[in-house]
Amino acid sequence: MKNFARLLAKEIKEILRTYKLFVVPGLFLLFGLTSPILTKLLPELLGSMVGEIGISLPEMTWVDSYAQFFKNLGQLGLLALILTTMGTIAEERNRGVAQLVLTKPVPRWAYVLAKYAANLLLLTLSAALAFGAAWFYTDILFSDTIFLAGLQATAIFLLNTAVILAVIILASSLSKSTIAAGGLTVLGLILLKVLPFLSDFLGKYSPDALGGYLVRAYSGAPIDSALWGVAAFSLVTIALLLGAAVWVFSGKEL
Amino acid sequence: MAEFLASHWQLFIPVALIDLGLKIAALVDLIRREQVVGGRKWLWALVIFGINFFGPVIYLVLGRKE
Repeated sequence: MKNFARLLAKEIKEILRTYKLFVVPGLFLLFGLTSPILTKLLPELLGSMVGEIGISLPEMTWVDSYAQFFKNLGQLGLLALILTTMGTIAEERNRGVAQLVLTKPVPRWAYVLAKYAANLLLLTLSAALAFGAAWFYTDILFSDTIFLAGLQATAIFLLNTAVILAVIILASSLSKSTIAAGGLTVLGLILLKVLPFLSDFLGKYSPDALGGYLVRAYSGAPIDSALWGVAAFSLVTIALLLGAAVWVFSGKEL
Repeated sequence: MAEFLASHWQLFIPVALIDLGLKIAALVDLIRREQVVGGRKWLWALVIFGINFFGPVIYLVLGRKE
């Protein structure tokens, strides 16, 4: 445990010292601030484009604002996370940093898990910051905004992204280069998308189902209790992926 | 649109600040770095200041060289 804490401190220090502290939270925050503004302006923008034909566009609501925000986070935000994290183990090994760190008597599992924990911390802080901004702007620009709906959706988004982060860590510990780790991550994400089609059970409980719950949450729609099953399945998936990452990395020549 | 921008211009201050912060962070890194991908620093400076928000990110992710 002591080793783990020490390595975690090292990882956090590294995030603070490098560009990563600016990129992920900066982009997330940007989406939080701009999504509500864009949603508010969208009818006018579209209106000026189609001209005077007289198409009436429905008024945007806080749900549309949340929808835009979570769509941005799930696409560009996720892309930024993958690009900045995929090299985390592969590149350290390439540059010889991992070898240096592991000459000290620290177990390999602590090294891998500290990577995951530090990145999860950064992700959580980024998402919380971004949601704070998104909620604040949505509340200013739209009426009757429900805070709790967005908060629940943020929690679901975080769980989903925690699974993806575990995929990235596994890919990074498997790969020799950053690019290969990126490729493997994409492959892993495709597998997660395929999983629900393999059986009814997986269709209902695999982590991919979180996407549907995310939409229901920010729309303020009722959420059935099967979400807890999906959440439990997601945690098991994370544990399996990290277990595999530790196992692979422990067997590797450095 | 113009009315909205006129009445809500304060909303854009944080957005501009984040953009500025990202640009400064990227520029400081660019100045301190001895080598960059592609070898030409001024090209990266162009990317950082030419593309809002994503320019600094593109540099920080792709342009740095140890």
